[in-house]
Amino acid sequence: MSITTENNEKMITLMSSDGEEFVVEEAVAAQSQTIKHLIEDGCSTEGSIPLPNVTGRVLSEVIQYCKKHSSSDDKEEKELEAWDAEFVKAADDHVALTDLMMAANFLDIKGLLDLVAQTLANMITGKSPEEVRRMWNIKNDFTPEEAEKVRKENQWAFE
Amino acid sequence: MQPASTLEISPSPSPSLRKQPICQSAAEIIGYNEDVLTKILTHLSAKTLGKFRCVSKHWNSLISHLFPPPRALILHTHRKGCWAIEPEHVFVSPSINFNNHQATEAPLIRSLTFVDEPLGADIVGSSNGLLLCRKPKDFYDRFELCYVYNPNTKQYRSCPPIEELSGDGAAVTGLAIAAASLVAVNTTGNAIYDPIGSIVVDKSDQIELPMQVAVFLIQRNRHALIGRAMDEHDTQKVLHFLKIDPDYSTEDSIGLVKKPNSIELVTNFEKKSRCGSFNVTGTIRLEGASSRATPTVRAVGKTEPEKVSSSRDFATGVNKERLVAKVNNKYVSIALLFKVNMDLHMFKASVVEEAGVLEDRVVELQKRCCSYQYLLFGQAKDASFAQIPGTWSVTMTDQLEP
Repeated sequence: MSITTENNEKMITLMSSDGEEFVVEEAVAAQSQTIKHLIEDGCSTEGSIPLPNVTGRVLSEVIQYCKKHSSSDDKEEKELEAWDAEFVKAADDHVALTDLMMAANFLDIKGLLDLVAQTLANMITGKSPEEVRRMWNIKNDFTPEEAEKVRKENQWAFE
Repeated sequence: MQPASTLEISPSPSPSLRKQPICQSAAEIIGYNEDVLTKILTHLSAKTLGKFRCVSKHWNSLISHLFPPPRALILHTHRKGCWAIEPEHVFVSPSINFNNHQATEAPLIRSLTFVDEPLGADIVGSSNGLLLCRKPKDFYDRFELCYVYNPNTKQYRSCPPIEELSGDGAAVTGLAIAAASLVAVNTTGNAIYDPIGSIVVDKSDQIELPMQVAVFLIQRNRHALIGRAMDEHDTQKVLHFLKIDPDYSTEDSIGLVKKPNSIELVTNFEKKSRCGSFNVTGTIRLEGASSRATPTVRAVGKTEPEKVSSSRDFATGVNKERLVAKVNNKYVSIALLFKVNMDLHMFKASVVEEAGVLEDRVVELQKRCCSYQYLLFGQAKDASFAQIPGTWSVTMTDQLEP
């Protein structure tokens, strides 16, 4: 899949970890600080910019976000908020959101990072520690005694 | 940090937890990635964070490290009463813009209803994350009970009404005790061991009184902030409290704070003719304590409280030469001053900046403001003075006055 525009904007080609190429306007790509710095360093002049940490599926979502946010300077903030809400809703589950979060972190896109972090935070707020561990495959390395102690110390948070 | 290769769930793995192994790499990495985790955790409330300390050792230490217990609360008043932004909300977002919150409509701001009392309790002061609350006056127009309330843990403890200390010296007392206590807190970072956040509320009776007084005195600063001579009686009281307070100089399970060898209280007074304002410096030196516990605290007197919010008065209230000298003598910052003041009067950054003539002083002040911000927000450690929106426009009015 490649994305093209009719503008005269300088175009940048991004390549995902699985070899998919995306052609985007520089202004869109430059919302990622990481890519912006790569462009400034001249990495975009020779072919595509490889993004080894981001799969094509995730990258297309990220680009969708960046396009929306680069083209909507003059739009209603409310509309953008609604769009953001839909956007994270479409990501659906924590796995997709986690992918997106890691990508946003790697690409350093502040708005997206905040958006996804908030969404994930909302998602885990009501969960128990066990559920969070399961969700992100975190090992509980407390001994039973330690677990009891920490639990006791933070008992107020469970009430 | 690398994810663990096995999916062992201890201490008591339940079969249901093992049913859905997650294979996605991002999902495995994220729980161990401090950078990303931090970004998610900043959006969580203090209560949720408390819960998630149980997730793993890594999470526990990350949360302790990133989110020390709140050390101060912003109080917000409106005409009908007094409201607190509780710590769980303070953590909600670094970008809360207090400026936009009207007390009556903001969901962030709630009245305190923890006390079994139909009229609730008034917040009369705050210090180090604790609130001092007071029941409304009884039939005989007396205050019946006060409460030291830790909104973080929802614990509270009743204490006798505190009206005994006279106001004028009270401010200095408050600074001294708060300073001493702050030192103790700085060495811990865990609410459980936080000598202020928890112990006062749920542990030792012995140290209850000084903190209670400190909380009270911080509040007293609003209208008595130094600015006036401290009478001999109150000075003695301060010194007495500091000397007998067993806690700020005690060991706890995390940090060690050595007891100072001597305590010296120095006050200088200088009356300025203009506007009848005062410029008073009080210094409390705790000699011989450990390096982390040498809080020589400058308590810089302000002009009359109602004029404090003016940056001009604010800036001129600090004698720059004296300030620098104190710094060179390893005197500790005047963050506490700001703390006290900001509980009461918020200075607008823009106003401070406009004091161009005093720019060099302002820089000094800003640094200290930052350190205060850190105390206040926990997560705002790298935020600069101006980057915390709205903080400087949180206003305190004097409507807390009984």
